[in-house]
Amino acid sequence: MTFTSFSYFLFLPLVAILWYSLPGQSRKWMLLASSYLFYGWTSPAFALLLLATTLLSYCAAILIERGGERKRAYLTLACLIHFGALFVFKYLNFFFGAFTGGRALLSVGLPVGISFFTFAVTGYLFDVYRGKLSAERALLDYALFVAFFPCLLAGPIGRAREFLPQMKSDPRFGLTTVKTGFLRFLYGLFQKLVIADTVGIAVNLAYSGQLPRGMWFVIVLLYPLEIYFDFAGYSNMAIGSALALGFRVTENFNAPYLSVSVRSFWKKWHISLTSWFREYLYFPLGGSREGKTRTYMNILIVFAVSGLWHGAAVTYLVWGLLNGLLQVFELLLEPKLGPMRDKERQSMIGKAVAALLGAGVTYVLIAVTFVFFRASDVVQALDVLRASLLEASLHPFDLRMTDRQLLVMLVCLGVGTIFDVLKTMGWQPRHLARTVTPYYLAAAALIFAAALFGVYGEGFDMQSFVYFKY
Amino acid sequence: MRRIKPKYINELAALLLTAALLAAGLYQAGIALMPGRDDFGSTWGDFLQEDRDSIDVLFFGSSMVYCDVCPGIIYDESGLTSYVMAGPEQTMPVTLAYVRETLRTQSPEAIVVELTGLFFDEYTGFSKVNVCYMPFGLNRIRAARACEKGLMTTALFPLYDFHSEVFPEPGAEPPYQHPDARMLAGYTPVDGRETMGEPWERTFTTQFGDDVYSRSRSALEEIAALCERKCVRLICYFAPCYNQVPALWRENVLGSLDGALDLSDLGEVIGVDKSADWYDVLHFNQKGAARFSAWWASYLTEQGVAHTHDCDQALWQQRADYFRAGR
Repeated sequence: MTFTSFSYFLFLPLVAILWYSLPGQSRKWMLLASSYLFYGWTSPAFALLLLATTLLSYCAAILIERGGERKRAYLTLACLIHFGALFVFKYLNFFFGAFTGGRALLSVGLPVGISFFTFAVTGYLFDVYRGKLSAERALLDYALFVAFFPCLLAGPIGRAREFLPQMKSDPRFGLTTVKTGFLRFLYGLFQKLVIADTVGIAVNLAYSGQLPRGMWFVIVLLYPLEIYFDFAGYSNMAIGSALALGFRVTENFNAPYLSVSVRSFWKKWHISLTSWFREYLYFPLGGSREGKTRTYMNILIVFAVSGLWHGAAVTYLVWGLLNGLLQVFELLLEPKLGPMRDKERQSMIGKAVAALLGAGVTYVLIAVTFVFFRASDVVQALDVLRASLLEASLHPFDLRMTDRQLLVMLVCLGVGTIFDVLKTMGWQPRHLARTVTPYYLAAAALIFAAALFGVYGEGFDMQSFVYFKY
Repeated sequence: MRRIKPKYINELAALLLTAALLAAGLYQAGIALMPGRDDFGSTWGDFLQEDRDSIDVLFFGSSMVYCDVCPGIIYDESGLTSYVMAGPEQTMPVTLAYVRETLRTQSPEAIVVELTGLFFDEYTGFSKVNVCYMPFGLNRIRAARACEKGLMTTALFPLYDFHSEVFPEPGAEPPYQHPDARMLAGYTPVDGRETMGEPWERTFTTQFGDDVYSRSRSALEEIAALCERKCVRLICYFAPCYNQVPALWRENVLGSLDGALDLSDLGEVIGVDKSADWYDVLHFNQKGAARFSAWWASYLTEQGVAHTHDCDQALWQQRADYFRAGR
């Protein structure tokens, strides 16, 4: 079951109705059972892994809190176990293959969401270790934090110190909150099925060698849109699902392509992951407190690890390092660029030009790094970049889309961009949720657009969520 | 008892209204996007245009019916009105759904069911066609349930499989509409002869599981029970064809069905030309279908099936003239 399956369209409202109808502890048990049902729908065996992760981290937190001088040892052991499991499922074959010419040691599939829930529980353990949070004694509440189905498969990566107080406050039905949740879910569905998957048709064709090489520069510029609307769509569906149950989870995106620098981009992209790395890796390494050289090293380390978090492949490592390097360059150039930017921003036109230029350059730089994210290997990535620079041609313009499909894609990209701009100007979906007619018109329009223009069913290849493989 | 706040009542009303309008809109969009279907079976759109209670005989089955039985010729020869409601590789459980659905608008004297469908497996690759053109309703859901697992989604929500039609390929042909659809009455005339795989095999080589037969047989018995309740005569038969169901299987089926006909070798009886009247191992071409349809006209009349329904005489005469011209 995924967010875009018909079974989920029945599952979520049913769980929401039961959640608001059942009394006391019984509704928490219902929510926990629903979460395990959701996770185990396609791979029941991995539900056991989730249970084991929950019980281990629950016990580890209590031991850490009580541990006194041994708390560091308990934390280390717990992290070794959790990250060890992640390593075995995700990275073991990669490293084994590196020494054995590509052979695999294990033939076990990757449990969906393992990267996400591993980070959620280890973040909790670090918070308990630092005294930011007390170890949770109520196993049911803690199990719900780990298994909370809206965020289980691909985030946003939950923070126990944000989730557990909400669980204890016993969320009650709030009409505006629930309506906001369902509207965000529908908007996420629109982003995924209509925008991301339509763009994905052309991108997948290109990467399987079925488009003219002259089109690569178009594909390089389109892929960031695919991955953004895919992941932002998923995040909106996750956040919307959580809101429908009365829970607020962390935002994951904040109009990242309107950023005027790579550093600014990384404050607005996959926020739950980057903030996790900032808090639990970058700051412990010293952050920016140990001088410039150490700051640059820390940035590179964090982004290298972030790259590898996405997958066991050299391309992800290169992608991460490139993003780290770009930020380092920005910091190095800051003494020169800063005064120039300040001068440009003195007039309205100057501000607009600076913003447009900044966003444009940032977008292109990010798009270049995303080539390594998407390509099957470094050789293909370099070939794509080479073709984009040296063989770019609009004749023939062939994305294997009909004119109508192209028009729909462009219009929907425009709609998605407008919503991002509105968001930066302070507009929130809950403003619409307070109305009646405009709300239901918007909801109906999103459903109709997804049903009519979405990429699903026969005639299209159903595109799974990009971030499911992480 | 706590009173429900007016704002919740308003919201509920708005939600229900939106859901209803959306369902209607999506349903209409699905209908609009589905390619037209006037021949090769499952011609529900054309069938539903027939006057209510105007059909004397309904034929059901697979392509071995819609290629072989021409209602225009049957009318020309006997004055009996008939309609072919068959579908490609249609299984017996789907035929049951078809019988139920057609009996909502027609009250025939006789129902004729071709029996090769007893041996068609649950999934034959044509389920979508056979089910998704049926009118929305319980029978459509029953038909979808009798097919492969994923079909229910399309049966309930046709846009699932047909919304790609929103983006037609450049230069694609316009939606298909048979120029003489009104003349066909469910029949699909095919011309010439496919020379595939000659010399042709005489018997099926495909193996079918017992579960397939028992499921199909249950459906046939339900058809028989339904016909008995509605006082409709049921005639079952094995179609004439070159590639035949093994004789033993036919004997077993015929032995357990009163009055069933084995027409497997009828071609020789009615003077079918082996080199000119077969389209392929299973189907007549127009020439063969004309002979076979004339035989049906004669057989049904001998069996006492009478023309008792009011019908659009002009339309039926047109149909008769149309096919007489091609014979």
